Amino acid sequence: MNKERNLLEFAGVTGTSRKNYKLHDITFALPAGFIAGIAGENGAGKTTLFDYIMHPDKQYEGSILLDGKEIHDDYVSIRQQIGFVSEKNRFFMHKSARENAKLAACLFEEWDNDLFEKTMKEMNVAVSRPLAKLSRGEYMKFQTAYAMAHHPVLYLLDEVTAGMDPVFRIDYFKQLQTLLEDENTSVLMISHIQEEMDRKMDYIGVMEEGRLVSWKENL
Amino acid sequence: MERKSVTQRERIEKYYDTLLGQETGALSPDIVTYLLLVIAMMLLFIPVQELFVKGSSDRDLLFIVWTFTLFFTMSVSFYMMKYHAVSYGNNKTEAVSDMLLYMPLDRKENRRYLFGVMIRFLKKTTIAGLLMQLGVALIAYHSVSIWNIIYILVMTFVAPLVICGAQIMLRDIQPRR
Repeated sequence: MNKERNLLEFAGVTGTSRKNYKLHDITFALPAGFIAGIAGENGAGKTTLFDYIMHPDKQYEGSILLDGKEIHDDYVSIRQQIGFVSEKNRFFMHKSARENAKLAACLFEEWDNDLFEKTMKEMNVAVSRPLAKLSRGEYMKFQTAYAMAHHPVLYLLDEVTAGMDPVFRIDYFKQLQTLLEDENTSVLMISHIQEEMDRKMDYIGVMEEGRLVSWKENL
Repeated sequence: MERKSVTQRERIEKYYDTLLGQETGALSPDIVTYLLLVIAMMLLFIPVQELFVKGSSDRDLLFIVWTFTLFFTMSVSFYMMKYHAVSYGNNKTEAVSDMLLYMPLDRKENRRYLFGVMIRFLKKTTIAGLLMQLGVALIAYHSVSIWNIIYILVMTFVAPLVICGAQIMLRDIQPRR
């Protein structure tokens, strides 16, 4: 793995909008080919950290770099490179996974429908069922297959494994490990599960009140 | 290399084409659109000379302008509805802007596309309105006035563009908490 090359880099990021949920002086670097976990209590700013990456209109000082490029300078092309899996991500719930994928294929440059269908099959999720009829676990698997299908370099996973049974979690991390075999890919995930953080993460960050109070290697 | 040549505009067009293609069963917004449109357009058969020259009362004029604006604006709104929301089940809807929130999409280009769709619709209705207005003026008064044209342009193009354009801006993609 290439620890010399930072895939995601926050440098002194502080929110400047007057609204709540601000980040304060966040600095960390996630090298390519590694998985990092962010922990913290509810309201610590973990999901807000993802919002700063995902929302083009977030106002902040400092810089957020993806593979050396400022993330909001060219949001459309940067967004092509991020796989986002979260309850906040929205899909047409009355449509099937396949119909949602067909829509995504119009907007993602590198969309690979064969990979999407193959991953869904491997994860035992029916592509023809409406998303509203999937369980939370199946919905997260769908989102993961959806994220994988556009070949991102960075995966942002927001409490994907919360409330999942241990078998699902083992399978899910196996899937993530295969993604990381491509050394250009990194995963940043939010988790409340301590055991998951200790055993699976290469880097662990802890947030409190919008600040990153700790960022350490766990290799 | 071939993929890179696809522009944002083409991607957005393809997205909406695919979305509308998936919703072919939803006829009701189209029916409502054209029903309201027919009611509104019938008012354009009243030539502007009838309203201004022949001494109609302000109340009559106001009634016609108000009724037309109401029905016409509603018909444009219904026409654009399919680009803003998808209906399903028992009166449930899902906003397209919510689905696009995390997509690799240029929001300005998306707005331009939606304005383009609306302007194409308004152009057609304006041409139809002009033909109706000028035709009736010619038959009834054997002449046309510049006011026949201005009246139609304002009523079927400028006013709906402002009102329904504001709706596009209000329904723009934005994060919700």
